[in-house]
Amino acid sequence: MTDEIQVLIALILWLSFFGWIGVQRGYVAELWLLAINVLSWVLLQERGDIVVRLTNFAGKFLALVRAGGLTAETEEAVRIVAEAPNVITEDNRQDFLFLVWALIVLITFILTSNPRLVKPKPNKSLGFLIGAANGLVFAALLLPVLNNFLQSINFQQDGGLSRLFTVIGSFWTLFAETLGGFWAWMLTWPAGAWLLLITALLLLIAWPLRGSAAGKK
Amino acid sequence: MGPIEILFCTVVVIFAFIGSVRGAHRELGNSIILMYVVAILRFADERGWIERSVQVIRIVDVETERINDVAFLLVVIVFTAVVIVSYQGLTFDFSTKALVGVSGFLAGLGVGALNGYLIAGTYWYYADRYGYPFNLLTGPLTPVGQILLGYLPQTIFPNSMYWAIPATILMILRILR
Repeated sequence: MTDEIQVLIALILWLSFFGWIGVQRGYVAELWLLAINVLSWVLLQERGDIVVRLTNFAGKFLALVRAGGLTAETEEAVRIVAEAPNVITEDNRQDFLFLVWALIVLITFILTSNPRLVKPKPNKSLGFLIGAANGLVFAALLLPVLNNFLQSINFQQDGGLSRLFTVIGSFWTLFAETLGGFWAWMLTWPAGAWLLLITALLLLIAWPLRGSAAGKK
Repeated sequence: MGPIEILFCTVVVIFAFIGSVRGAHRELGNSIILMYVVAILRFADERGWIERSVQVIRIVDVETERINDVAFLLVVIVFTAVVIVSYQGLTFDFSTKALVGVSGFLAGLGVGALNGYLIAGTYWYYADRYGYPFNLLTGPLTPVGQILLGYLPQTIFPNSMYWAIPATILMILRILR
């Protein structure tokens, strides 16, 4: 089998999967996802500086609050803001914008899956087509990122099964390292941030449960 | 026996699974009680009330060097009694409404893990505070154990009364209909 046929089959499988999701979710939801997906990507690539500046501004404001700058003299507050490092630098700018885009897509997917917000209209073929179009956009945006990672994997043996295990192992290592890094970063949080996180998570769980009197076991 | 942090993590995981079975609507009620107890116990500890109560009770003639053992035992008895009462029989449930599906499972898992952390963390903190009495720890703490000691329910916040804040918010949510 030539490489072109393999690529074609992989693409058909990929698009069929997204088309099937489109049929399940309905074409209106898929259309919203497609529009926001493309629009947010283009805007973040072209005008991403606005989001970066806003985030850095928020970071500096937090640094000001933590240093007690809100009650300090103007010169002192200016010094604190000037000395506070930027949260988003040139090194992590692209990663940050990708994360923002991924979050926008995820939130859009969740919101448009809610039948109360987007009423599903029965048109399977249109749903399949727009779903496949979404798959094409995701392929164009996500596959280069995955490809960068796959190219960095060093395959020791040629066997099919060992290659599969190497890829899965590499993904697992990446996941574990990222989680470890995130945990190490969380350990540097001040007590107030932990309190906010615990309270917010508990409220998130408790909020849908409110309103019904607690009873017996 | 392995390092103490393995035991700590095992208890947290067991309670997480218990939470996923019981449901977040029940586990949240236990969380409220446990958060208040953690705050009150630490409040009493900071003021030396635990040692003083050991002197006052005088069930046995306590030698000076064994005060730590008895104080630890006292804390364990009080805390275990609260944990058993909060889980056994008529429980202080947060709601009669249960969260269902994957989100319900995850919510139960999360709140159960929090309860496990509060329970196992409290035992660990007081064991450490009173110098691991009754040979609870035979060797030195591992580096991971030393790091985790700074993140136990009694040490994660500068003041344990911080735990009263989420507990009170949950209590208000429970009372308001």
